[in-house]
Amino acid sequence: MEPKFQILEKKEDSIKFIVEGIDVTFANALRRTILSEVPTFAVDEVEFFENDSALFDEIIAHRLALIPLKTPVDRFSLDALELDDHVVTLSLEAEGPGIVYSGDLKSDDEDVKPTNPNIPIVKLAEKQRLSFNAYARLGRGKDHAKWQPGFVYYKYLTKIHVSKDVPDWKELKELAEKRKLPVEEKEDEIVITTTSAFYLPRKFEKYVGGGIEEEVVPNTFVFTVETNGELPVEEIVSIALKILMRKSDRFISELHKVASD
Amino acid sequence: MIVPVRCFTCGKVLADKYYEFKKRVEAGEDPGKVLDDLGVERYCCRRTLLSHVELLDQVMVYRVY
Ligand SMILES: [Zn+2]
Repeated sequence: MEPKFQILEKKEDSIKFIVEGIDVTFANALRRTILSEVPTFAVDEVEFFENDSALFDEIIAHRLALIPLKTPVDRFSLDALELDDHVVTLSLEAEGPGIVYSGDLKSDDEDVKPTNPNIPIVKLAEKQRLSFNAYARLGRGKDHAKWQPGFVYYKYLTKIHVSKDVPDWKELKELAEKRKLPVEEKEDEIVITTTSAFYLPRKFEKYVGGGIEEEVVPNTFVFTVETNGELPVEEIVSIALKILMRKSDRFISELHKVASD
Repeated sequence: MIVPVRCFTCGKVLADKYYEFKKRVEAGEDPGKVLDDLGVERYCCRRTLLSHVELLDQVMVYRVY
């Protein structure tokens, strides 16, 4: 069966879609590839020249690493299995009093800079000074979570059948409509399609298995992908799929080698 | 000490929202509503902002060395 895609919702930093015709193994492989294989830039090494702040060098270095850095898709081959060795230097020099923000970092590469200028790095009191060079590299989420491009989760698509014998079934209908879930009303039941999580209110729990039944739509998953800003969401998914494809290709060719020996 | 840059659990960037959150809550707004407004949806992120105590202001007045 040819997999089918349907985009449910597209925002600036997230996308929600239904994939039909894949199994759990593939859905999970896609999720894990997004989290641990899609490369992004993150600060990997920091050289401190001066730090009079109340936070230790290591804490500031850790905070710097967690700042999402814009990763130019067209300049680096992000779907390759080998990473480009490119170092971007972000430097900062500041004196208190005041808060040092991610927007104060000066990058030597216009394309690689903090996506969000409002992240506080440290607070400086009067006369406290901070100056350092931070070096950002491409990396993958499997080595450190700072290189994860975002967040992704999926759920089974299910249909909840609510018989009209259940008292207050109208309440469930209203609740589902309020959550913007598609509701289909039939002669003797309503069918709620759970395109996002739908939890039954406790008073309805006793009808589960009786008047209320949950049907899992086979081989269909609702994916949500969020980005921290490093990469556009669609890119995250397509890069992940390409990496998965490359890895499978490599696996097959290795198998052929073993078989021919 | 200082606001965590990201949610401990899911990794969403939160630090940029904290000072606005604090300001609005101190002005008397309902914390839950402010979190909704800021787009902080999951409960892992909500507890991270809600339970944070900014101790740095007290600590930073002393010399470290
Ligand atoms: Zn969270």
